[in-house]
Amino acid sequence: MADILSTLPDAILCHILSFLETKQSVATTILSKRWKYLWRSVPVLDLGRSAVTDQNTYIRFIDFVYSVLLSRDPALPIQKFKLIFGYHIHQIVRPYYPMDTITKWVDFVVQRRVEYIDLHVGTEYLPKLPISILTCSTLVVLELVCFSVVELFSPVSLPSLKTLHLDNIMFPELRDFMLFLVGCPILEDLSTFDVAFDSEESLTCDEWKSFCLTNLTTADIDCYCNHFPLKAVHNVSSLRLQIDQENCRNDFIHTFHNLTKLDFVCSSLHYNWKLVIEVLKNCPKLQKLHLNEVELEEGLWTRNNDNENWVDPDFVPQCLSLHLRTCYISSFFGLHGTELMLAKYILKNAKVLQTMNIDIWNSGQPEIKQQLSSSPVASATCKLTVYYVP
Amino acid sequence: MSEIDMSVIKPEMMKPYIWLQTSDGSIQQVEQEIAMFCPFICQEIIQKGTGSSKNCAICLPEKVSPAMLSLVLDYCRFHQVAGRSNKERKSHDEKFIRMDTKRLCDLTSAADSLQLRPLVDLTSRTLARIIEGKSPEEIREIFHLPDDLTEEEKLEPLKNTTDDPRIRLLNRLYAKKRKELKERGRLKNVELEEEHVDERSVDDLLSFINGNDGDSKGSKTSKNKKKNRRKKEQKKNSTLTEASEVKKELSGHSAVSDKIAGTSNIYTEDDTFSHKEFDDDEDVDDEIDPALQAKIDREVEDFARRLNSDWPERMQEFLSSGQERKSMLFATNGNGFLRRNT
Repeated sequence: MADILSTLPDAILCHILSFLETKQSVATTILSKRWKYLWRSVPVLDLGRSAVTDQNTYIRFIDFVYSVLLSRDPALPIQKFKLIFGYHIHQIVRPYYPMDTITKWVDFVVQRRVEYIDLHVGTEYLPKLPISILTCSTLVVLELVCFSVVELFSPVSLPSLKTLHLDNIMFPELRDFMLFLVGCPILEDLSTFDVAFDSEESLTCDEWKSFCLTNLTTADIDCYCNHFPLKAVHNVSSLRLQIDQENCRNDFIHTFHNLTKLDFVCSSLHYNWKLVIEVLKNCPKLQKLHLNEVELEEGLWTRNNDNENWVDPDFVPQCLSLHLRTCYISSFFGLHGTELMLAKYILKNAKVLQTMNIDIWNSGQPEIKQQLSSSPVASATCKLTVYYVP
Repeated sequence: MSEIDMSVIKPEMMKPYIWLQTSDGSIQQVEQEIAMFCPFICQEIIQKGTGSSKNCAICLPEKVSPAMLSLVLDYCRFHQVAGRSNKERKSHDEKFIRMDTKRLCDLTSAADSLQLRPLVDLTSRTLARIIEGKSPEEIREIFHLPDDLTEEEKLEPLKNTTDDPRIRLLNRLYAKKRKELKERGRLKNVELEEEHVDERSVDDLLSFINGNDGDSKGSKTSKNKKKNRRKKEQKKNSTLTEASEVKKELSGHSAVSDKIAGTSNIYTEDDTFSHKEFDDDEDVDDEIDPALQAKIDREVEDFARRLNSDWPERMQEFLSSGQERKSMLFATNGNGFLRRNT
C-alpha cells in the first residue's frame, strides 16, 4: 500500500512535526528517505521537560541541543522555543552553569526571530532572566516561570508581544515591573502569579497612576503576594483576580469599564464579602461572575474579624441590576452566615440573572440548599442549581 | 438573455449559492456563506468572479475530492457561526477529527490546498498526536512509509549533501568516533571523568556558534592544518571523545556512548589545539587505514542494528528519566511559592 503521506507537501509534514517535541521530531530522521532531513526545517525547538540528575545527563542534553542547532540551516527562523528545565545545583558543578548555556540558546533563537518563548528553570534559586528576551522585536508570546529580572538599564522593547505570562518572577522594584509592562504596548493577555519585588518602594508613584495597558483584553492578576497597580489593567473585558482584603489599599479598586467576565479568587468569601461588593460596584457591565475561595492557610476560615456580620450594601451595584447573567460560586463552605447572605443578596438583586450555580463543599448542611431555594429571586428566568460536592 | 444574466450576476455577493467543481469533474451547489470560509474560494470569487453559475464553477484544487469537500464544508458550516464558545468549538473538533488515518491525511491535503488554516492546524495536530511516542516501525506501519534507508544512512543522519560546513564538522566528529571505536577495541582503558573532555567539546561548540558563525572555514583550515596534524597524533584520544559527546545524544544510544566515554585522555590546557581542531577537514579520512575499515564497519553495523531498535527506547529512556524527576521542577526556591488552585 502506498505511502499515505506522500500527497502532503514537505511544508505540511514540517508543520505536523512542529507539534512534537524536538526529541521526537529528530527521531523521524530514520523513518524513510523523505523524512531524513525534514526535521531540520521544523521551526520549533521544543525541548519539553528536561530534568537532569547528574553531570552525564546534563552533558548529553546540552550536546543534543547544540547538535540540533548546528544541523539546521542558520538562516531558517525559529518560531517557538520551549524549555522546562529542572536541576539541583549540587548535582551539576561544571562545566557550565545551566543558565549560561540556556542563555546562549535563548540568544540564538532571539537572533532567529523567535515568536514564542516558554521558559521555566526550576532550581534552588531564581536564575537571571536572559536579557536578550527583553528586546526581542519578534516575540508574540512570552511565558516565564522562575526568574529574577536584573535591574533594567536599557528599556524593555517588546513591540509585538501580545501574550505575557509571568509566574514566580522577581523584580528589583515595582518600578522595574512597570517599565517591563510599558515596553509591551500592544499586550492583549497578561497573567501574573507570584510576581515579587526585592524592595517595597513607595506605591503611590505618580507616574504609574495613569498607566494603562490599552489593548489588554484578558488579565489574570495575583494580588496575594504583592501589590499590583490594577489601574494598568482596567480596560480588560475578562479578568481573573486573586486578592484579599488585606492587600487592598486606598483607591485600590479601579472601575473596570469593559469588564464582562470576572473570576474572583480570595481566601474566604466570609472574610472578603465587603471586597466582593466593592469590586462589583466597580464593574458596571459585568455579565459573568465566578466567586472562588482558595484555602491557603488552614483555619483561615475560622478567623474572627469585624466583617463577620453581613450588612446590606448602601446601594445595589449596577451590574447586578442591569447585566449580570451568570453567577457561579464554586467553593461555598457555608460555615458562616455571610456567605449565604452574599448569595442571597445576589439572587435578590440580579434582575437579569439566568443561571446561579453553587457548589457546596459541606455535605453536613443540607439546609443550605433549602434556604437558597426559598430565598427571594429578582429574575424570573433564573435557574438555581445547588450541588453538594462529595 | 445575456442582459437578464447580467442583472442576476451583478448582485453577486448577495447570491446564497455558489458552484464548485471538485477533482472528479462533478459540480455542486454550496451555500456561499459557508464556502467563503475557505480563503481559496473567497479569492476565486472576488478576484476572478467565478462560481456564480454552473457554467463558471470554481475549479477546486485536485486534492479536493467530493468526499473531502463534504468534510471541509461540514467544518466550515459549524465554525462560521459566530456565537459559539471556545468550549463548543473544541468539543466539535474533537468529534469531527475522529476518522481513519488515510482520511485524515487526505483531509489535511484538501484543507491545505483550500488554504483553510484552522483545519490544517487541527488535522496536523491530530497527526502529530498519532506519531507521538511511537517507534519508527510503528510509524512506518501506520503511514505505510517505505523503509528505504540503508543501515549506514540511518546511522549517519547528518549526511552532508549540501556541503554545509556544519554538517562536515559533525561527520568529521563521527568519523573520529568510529576511529575511537577501533581504538577501544585495542586499549583497555580506565573510565576517567568525563568532565574534562566535555568541557572542551561544549566550549568548542559554544565558540563555534558564537564566534565562527558564518566565518569561512576554509581560511582557518589552511592556517592550522599542519599544526593539527601533528597535534592530532598526540591528542588522538581526547579529540575522539569530543566526537563522542556530540554524537552521543544524536544516537541516543547510551551503551555505546558509555563505551566511548571511558578513554584515557590526556587533558591539555592547550586552548589553541581544541579550538582549531574543528577546522581540519581532510585529515581524518586519509588516516583511516583501509585494512581497519572492515573492522570499523563491522562495529558500525552492530551499532546501527542496535541503534535501529534502540533509538525509540533510548529516547523513551531519556524522556522517562525526565519524568521521574518532575517533582524537582517544583522544588521550593528561596521564596517558596504557592501553587494556584485551578
